[in-house]
Parts: sequence; C-alpha cells; structure tokens
Amino acid sequence: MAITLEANYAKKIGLPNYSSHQYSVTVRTEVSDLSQVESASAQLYQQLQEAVDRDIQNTGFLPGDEGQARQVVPFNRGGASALSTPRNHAAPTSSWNCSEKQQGLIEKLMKENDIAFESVDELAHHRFNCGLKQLNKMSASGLIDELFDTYRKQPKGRSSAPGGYQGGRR
Amino acid sequence: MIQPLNPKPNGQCKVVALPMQSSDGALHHISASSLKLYLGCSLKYYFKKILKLEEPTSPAFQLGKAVHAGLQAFHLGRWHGKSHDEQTVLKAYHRAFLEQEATDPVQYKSGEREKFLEKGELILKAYLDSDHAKMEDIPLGVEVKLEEEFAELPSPLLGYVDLVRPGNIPVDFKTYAATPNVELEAFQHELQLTAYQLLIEEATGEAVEGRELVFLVKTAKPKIIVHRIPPATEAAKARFWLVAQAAIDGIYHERFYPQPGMACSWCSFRQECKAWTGGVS
Repeated sequence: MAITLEANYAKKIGLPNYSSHQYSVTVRTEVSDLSQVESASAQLYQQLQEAVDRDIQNTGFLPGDEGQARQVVPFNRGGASALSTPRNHAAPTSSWNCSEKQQGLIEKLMKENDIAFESVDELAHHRFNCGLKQLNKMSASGLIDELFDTYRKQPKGRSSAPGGYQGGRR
Repeated sequence: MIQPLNPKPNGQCKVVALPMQSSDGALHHISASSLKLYLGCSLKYYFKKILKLEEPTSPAFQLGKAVHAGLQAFHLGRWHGKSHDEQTVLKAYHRAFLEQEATDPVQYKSGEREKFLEKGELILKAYLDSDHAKMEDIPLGVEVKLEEEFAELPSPLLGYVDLVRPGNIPVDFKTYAATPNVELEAFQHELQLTAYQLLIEEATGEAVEGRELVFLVKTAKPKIIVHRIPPATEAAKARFWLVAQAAIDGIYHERFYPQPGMACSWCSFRQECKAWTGGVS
C-alpha cells in the first residue's frame, strides 16, 4: 500500500516600511513503505528549503513604492527616523517562534545551567501545551521567568524581570 | 533651548522655569500609565518622569503592591502546580509588604500600619473565597512583561499584565477603598486595557477574546467585583494610537504646563507647580 507524504515549507521575512512577505511550497508524494519516510522527508525538506530560499528573495511590490503605504499613521517627530527596521513576527533565519533575543536568552540559560534541551522542551509542553520552539513571545516570556526563578538568578519584582519579553525588531 | 540643570532627585530643587531638564531618554519606552499621567497633567509628568522628583508613597499604594504580590503567588502556584493555599499567599503578601517598607518607607499614623496590614489580609482571603479564584482554567501568563514596537509609535510600548487567561484575556487587579462604578472604571482604564490587548496580540499573533478588571474593594466586608468587557474594536485601537501619539508628541516637544483640576487636591507637586513660570521671570 502506498503511503502519501505531504511536506510543506514556509518562510516569512520582514521588509522595509513595516511590511513582510511569506512564501510556502507544498508537495505531496508517495512512498512505498514506512522505512522510506525518514529519507524522503529529509530530501523533501532540503529541496523545499532551497526552493523557498531562492524564490523568496524576489520581494516584488513593496508598500510605499507607488505611494500605497500601509494604512498606519506614522509618528512624525520632525525629522527623526524612529522606525527604520522592519517588523516581523517570525525570525527569518530561525525556526523558533519567539524573538531572537528570547531564543538567545533561553539558550544561554540552558548552557549556563547545563539544562538539556529536552528538559526545557518538556517544561514548555507542560506550561503551554507546545514545544519550546513553538512558543510565542508571550509564552517564552513566562518560560524565561520560570527558568530564572528556578535557577535563582532573578530578583523578584516587576522592575527587575529580565525574562520579560522586550520586543525589538529582528 | 534646554538648559540641563540636573536637579537632585530629592524633592528639594526649586523649579523656576521649564524645561529645566531635557526630556531626552523619557521615550525609551512608553507605558499606558505614562500616557495617562501625561494626559492627566503634563506638568506632573514632567516632575515625576523627567525631573524624577520624589513623591511620598501612600499607604494605599504600598498595600496595593503587596496585595498584588499575594495574587501573583496564588496564580503562579496554581499554574506551576505548586502550593497556593492561603498560608502561601499571605506569606508572599507579608514578604512584599516588608520589602516595600525597607526600600520605600511609608509614614503611618499611630496604629495605622497594623490596620492596613489586616485589610490586605482580609482582601486576599476574600479573593481566595471568590469565584474568580476558583477558576479552573490555567493561566497563559502571570505578571507578564511585554514590550513591543509598533509602526504607529516611535517608542516601544511596555506593559505588565497581572494575569492572562485562556482566550488571551488580560486581567488587571485593582484595589479600591470604596465600591467603584465599574462602567466608569472600565472607561478610565480603557487606555491600559487596549494597550494590553495590542501587546498580547502582537506577542502571540492571536486574537484577544475579552478583557477583565477585578476590583478588590477594601470595605469593612471586602468585596471582589469582576468586570469583563469585550475586546477593543479597530476603532478603539485607532483611538488608542491617536491618544498615544498626542501624548508622545507632547513629551517629545516638551510641552509641560499646569492643568488645574480636581486631581490637584491630592497632587504632591503643588508647590513646584505654583513655582512654574513657563520660562517668564
């Protein structure tokens, strides 16, 4: 019996003028038995990633190109360019869903305290019903707080919560 | 235009003209409370946030912070599967109260401190007995710090959310001396609740299904009043951006001037305010 394998690869990147674009490719293929799934998946992943990475470089139309900027009221402080970097929910080069800052902090805490990825991943599942890499920024903030709390490096109180998410464009 | 005089943050500097100190740095980030402070009285904002003049901490403020610590311990314990019984909550409350006293002492009248301490205990016990404390849903966040950049503002928006419930519902606990008019309070806290909604939506990429205010009323028999309101509409969000932009524009351009009103009766900067000349000697 043939087994259908469906693979999807998606990527979203930030662009100037507070815009972003994304592209995804989905393929469906058949493998003859389960033993082929692993190798077929690895091959598909590589192929799809290469395809998406190649094509996503063509950004096409950008807001502002033809006077059609995004419908926001930009803050005008008289010349200062307060916002110059793009806004982006997903880091272009990371498979983590939280911010790069949060990812860096979690990885640093894991390294400094010799915590296995699996342990933190399990904690994420317990607290947020999803894996570590799938945590959104709010959940990651809570997880970081707990890691700091567990390893006693964070004084209590609002003003000193380094685990709190501090946005920043990526 | 601006002469930075670096006044001592000890409440003793003499305000002769404004601005004495530049607002540079005041907009590293902006919170709903800062926006509200500026919009309420721009000169009070200047005294507090720019000159950083000291303001005496009120017993009610100290109590509110300690009660918040107790609530935080309760919901964190519930979430993390750790102890969150009355004893644990009261322990967190007392610890926070003592920490506050050590770092920011309050001038109590005779016997007042004990009364306040007891009030805090009673209100926490009332909360633990309330339906709100018996919620079975597990929090999505407790005392969550969120800071996000938005295209609509030149500074990142910052907020601390007391509790986030499933449905991404931000919950804010408020301690009150008397039973509040909940509709009026919801109106007055619209800016804060909309800011929380925007921050949560940005951080999660998901919708917010509602917003909740929980009033802990310190009456003789403490009361817990839960007031849930719908999520902010697009129009309400647009209103938020306009209000925030107006406040930030005023701070950036250093528009600080007296705004006489009812709030002057409890403002601790009245003397400094009286000395204001707007630069005219």
